[in-house]
Amino acid sequence: MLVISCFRATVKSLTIITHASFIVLLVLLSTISLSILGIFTSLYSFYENLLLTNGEGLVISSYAISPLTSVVSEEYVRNLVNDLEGISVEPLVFSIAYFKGKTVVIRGIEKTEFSSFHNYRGSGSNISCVVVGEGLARELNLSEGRTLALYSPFTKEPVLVTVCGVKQFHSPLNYEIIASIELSRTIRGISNNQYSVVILRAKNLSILSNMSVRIGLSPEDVGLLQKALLILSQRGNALVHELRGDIPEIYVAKLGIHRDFIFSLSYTIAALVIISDILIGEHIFRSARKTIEVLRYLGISRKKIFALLILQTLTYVAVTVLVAFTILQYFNDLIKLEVLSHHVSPQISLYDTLFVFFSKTSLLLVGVSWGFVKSEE
Amino acid sequence: MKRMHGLTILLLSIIRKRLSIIVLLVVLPPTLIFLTLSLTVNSVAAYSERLLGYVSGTSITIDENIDSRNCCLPIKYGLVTIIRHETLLQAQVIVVSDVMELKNLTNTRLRISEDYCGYARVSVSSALLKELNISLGDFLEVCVGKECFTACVKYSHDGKLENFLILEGINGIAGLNRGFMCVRDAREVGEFIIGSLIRELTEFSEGYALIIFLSYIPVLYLANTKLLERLGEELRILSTQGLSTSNLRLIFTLSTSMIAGLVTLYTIALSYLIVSAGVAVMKTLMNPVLPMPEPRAGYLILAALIFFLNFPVSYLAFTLGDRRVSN
Repeated sequence: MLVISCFRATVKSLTIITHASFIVLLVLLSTISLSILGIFTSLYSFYENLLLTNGEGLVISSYAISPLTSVVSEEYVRNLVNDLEGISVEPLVFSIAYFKGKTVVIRGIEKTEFSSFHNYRGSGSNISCVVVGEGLARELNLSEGRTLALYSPFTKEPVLVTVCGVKQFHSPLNYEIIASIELSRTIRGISNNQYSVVILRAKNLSILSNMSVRIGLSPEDVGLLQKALLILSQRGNALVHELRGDIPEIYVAKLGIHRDFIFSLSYTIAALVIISDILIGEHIFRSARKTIEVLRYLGISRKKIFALLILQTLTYVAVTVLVAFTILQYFNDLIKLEVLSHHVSPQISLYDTLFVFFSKTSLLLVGVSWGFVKSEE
Repeated sequence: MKRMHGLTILLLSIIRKRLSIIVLLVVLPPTLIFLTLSLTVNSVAAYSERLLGYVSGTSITIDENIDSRNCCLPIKYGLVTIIRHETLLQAQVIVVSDVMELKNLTNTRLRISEDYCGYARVSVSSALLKELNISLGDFLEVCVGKECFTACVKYSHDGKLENFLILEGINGIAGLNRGFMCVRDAREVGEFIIGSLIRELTEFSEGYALIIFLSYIPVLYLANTKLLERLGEELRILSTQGLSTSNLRLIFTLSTSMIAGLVTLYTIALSYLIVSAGVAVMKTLMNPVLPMPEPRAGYLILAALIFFLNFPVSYLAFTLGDRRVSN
């Protein structure tokens, strides 16, 4: 109770401007620290987000460093799901194209699904129709009916397409060009029986167990097929399977970087950004020093004074981390990174928020203790 | 003379009391992050340039403006509808004044029909001829929007532009776009693409570093108030030796700014070592092609920037600190 009363006295002894200054400063640094972790997470799972698996689905890919360069044969997929019912097959053909100084992603989807995206009634069979995400259309100043000359780095030739619609999608689709699989194949320069990746989704595990036998998995590994990356590679004349549960990890590994390296780097930088919290902590103590001197004069023990300083620091950190978290959740356009014209916003997890909370608290307390010990001396 | 003496005293005190650590706490995070981002982007750019070495051949592009460095041909381009046996088929079309000019520009293989053609002439790729079940000398009905005309298949092209119809001998067709077909070195176009990706990273790192630097200005103020407190004794002695408040303010501002500049130089070297060590580890263990980051003289400007930025901050810290003491 005494600590709470002392805490109240300390808080009241400082002006609102002093409190606000500390909070604003700490919010700024927390936002930077959290956004670093969020951006790393977003980049780490960039390809998984591109696949739109939403945490489920078996992604069949070739041994490529990304879905943008992978090629799988239709025949393999047909043999894999042949006679199996209750499995939805979603083939995708990704490509990239260069247009007006930007490299954009082309997502080729099945014709029936693509037709539902637009109601353009041009002449002919409309095989050159594309739907542009509203975000990308705004950046490139595109509107319905325009003919675009996209350059394909795969075929080294231009491809003409008509914008049949501009549509607001959720990210990442909002920054992509959506086309039919056939048109995307033309841009990608692959043949009619090839896809970039194929996503299989099953209604239940028993269906997957039949498939697991065809892949050569043991029955206990069937669960893996609910969300995994099935990588196909050619060794001699044989097609080799490799099944990996963590989709982002395998894509990062193909770049030659270990997953743990990415995480340790991001946490080190996030902690480094707030290392100056030691100075802020010392300043927090200094601003409350006069009140603390009075409290000490009144006979309050050092332990209790330190407890109230911890309480004050915790309050500051809790408020600032909460505000920073809210800022990044609702104003995530503040800090954004563009990758292949996609706006990558920070993905903040609870774990990252807790990391920032604890590291900030620790560093501020180091500063507070520094000031307190000096003052006691 | 007194000012010089005062400045030396303050600088020596900052070093002896190891107060430069306070400045390091402020300068290290933004400088390290800015340089790490910058050096990494440069390393990625150098890596991409190496990859471009594997790109060969030529690229064909359609541009809105003519490029004097490359061979370009004025064209009209767009999408047309081919009507064949009551079937509508959409096709990409390029309209040129002379197909032979396009052949020479793009190095396309061309077969020419011997038959006389009094209409507009079109070149169709072998694959499309097969798909449409027509041969050289046949006729095609081509529609641009609602305007339709008959064209005879005078040419057949292969090797390049196989998805395009190439029209010759038509004028005044509305509904097509004007542009230039250019043939470039594939490396040059590859550089554009990689350049756009690097630009995305650079824009982010510059914006992000700016936000971090701006956020650290208040922290720099806190560091200066701390320095002012720790140098209080020295300043008092110098004051008794006859240095006025304005002179004390000047030497305090100068000494802290010099220390801030020196600490920034130290941080730049440290950042370079950290990034180089990181790249060296990755080079040894993971990717041997990865290039080492290149040190640039431009990074030293950062030290000058911090030096000048600390001037007003330090001045303010001294003025407010002095006022508080006077009160």
